[in-house]
Amino acid sequence: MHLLRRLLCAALATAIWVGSLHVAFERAPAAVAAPLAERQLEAFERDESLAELRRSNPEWDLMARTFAVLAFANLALREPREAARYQAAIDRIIATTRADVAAHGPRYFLLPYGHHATHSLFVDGELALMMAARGAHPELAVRIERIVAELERAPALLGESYPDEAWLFCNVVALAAIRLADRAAGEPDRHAALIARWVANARANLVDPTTGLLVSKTDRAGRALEGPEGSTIWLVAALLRIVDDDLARDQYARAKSELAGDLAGFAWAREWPASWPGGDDVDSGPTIPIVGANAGSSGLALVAARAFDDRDFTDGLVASLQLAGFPLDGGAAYAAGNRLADLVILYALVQGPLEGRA
Amino acid sequence: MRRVLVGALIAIVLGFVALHLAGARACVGVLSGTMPASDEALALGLAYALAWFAAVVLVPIATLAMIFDTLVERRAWRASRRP
Repeated sequence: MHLLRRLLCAALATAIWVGSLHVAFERAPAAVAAPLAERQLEAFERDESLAELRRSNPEWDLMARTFAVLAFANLALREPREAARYQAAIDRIIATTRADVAAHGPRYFLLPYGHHATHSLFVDGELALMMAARGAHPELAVRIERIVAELERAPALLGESYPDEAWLFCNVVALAAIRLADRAAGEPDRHAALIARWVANARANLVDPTTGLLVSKTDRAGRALEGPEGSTIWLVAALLRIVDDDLARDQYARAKSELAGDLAGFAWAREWPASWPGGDDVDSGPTIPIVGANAGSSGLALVAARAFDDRDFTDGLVASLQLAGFPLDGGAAYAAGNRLADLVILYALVQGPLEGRA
Repeated sequence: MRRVLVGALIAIVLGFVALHLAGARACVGVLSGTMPASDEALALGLAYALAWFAAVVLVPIATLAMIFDTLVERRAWRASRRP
């Protein structure tokens, strides 16, 4: 009898506490973004080193720069009084990145197995996206045409990030760069035919038959090497809004169905659909068992949730961030992540004006 | 039994506070796959994460459950004392 009474008390206590805990961790997106923005702007103004990220993965160095530029470009549009500061930081990042690539080649930002690569759409696409986000750069047009030529040459319209490896993440980044560059040049449909062909090929050949989600990696010929991955598909869906809104919305709906989870006001994302038995890698980070909550996927899910104005999912992810992200210094950084994660969160929360949305 | 539980809950909270004051919060980057600076940082980060979730989830639930159990027990005792 005592045991039954205690179990019932424990069940009641659990229901009350778990059901109300999220209230303590709810935050408005703007309130989360503000300290992150100030900290990251100061860090880039000081040329704070990204060496710690490079120790884990040199790709993270380039991605941190890209997300910083995207975030700062949006903030410059949202906060005209601070625009000069943000634009100066963007110019510094672009100049440094160009210099690093010129001095070391694309391998500077690639994992060791790609060190013999002579080109990489990962590097070319992200640098072009940075320049397109800035709105004007002397090299932008040439870089865009180089990317376009690479896509046209490829048997499946897929540029390689590593030898014989084409990442959908990198290809959609490149397409977003093309579209933003065309808009900035006053010719928004200049490469519309190429983009239409790419989208048609993606729908026909790059989709996992079980989930309908775009796969994350193929070989140069377009054969799938890895299935739909959370830490890829969320950003792909978000950037596809710039490129093809129909495909973007389709992929977001599918990703939510296959990867999103929530409980009592907290939300998270899985790295792999239940139908695809993938493992964690250095980009995805660890996964909490049972619920399958994955750090990398959940962070990038916030980018997609905001891109599609999914307020419930956004609120749940922000609450989870406050609970399990371990904010430091009033939210200027999140201890559970790293500087790249902070920049992804910042971009997620401030995106919109650059991408052509409110 | 209840004293043992209360003691354990207090120990969890004190342990969390001690880790927080020692700056272990900054070491939880291991949760994202970021390489820790040292084995000590790895241990501190994991200990802090466990202590945090215990303090934020386990301790309040256990405390509430004890309060409810005490209230029910007292109510039952008073009811048994009525003529």
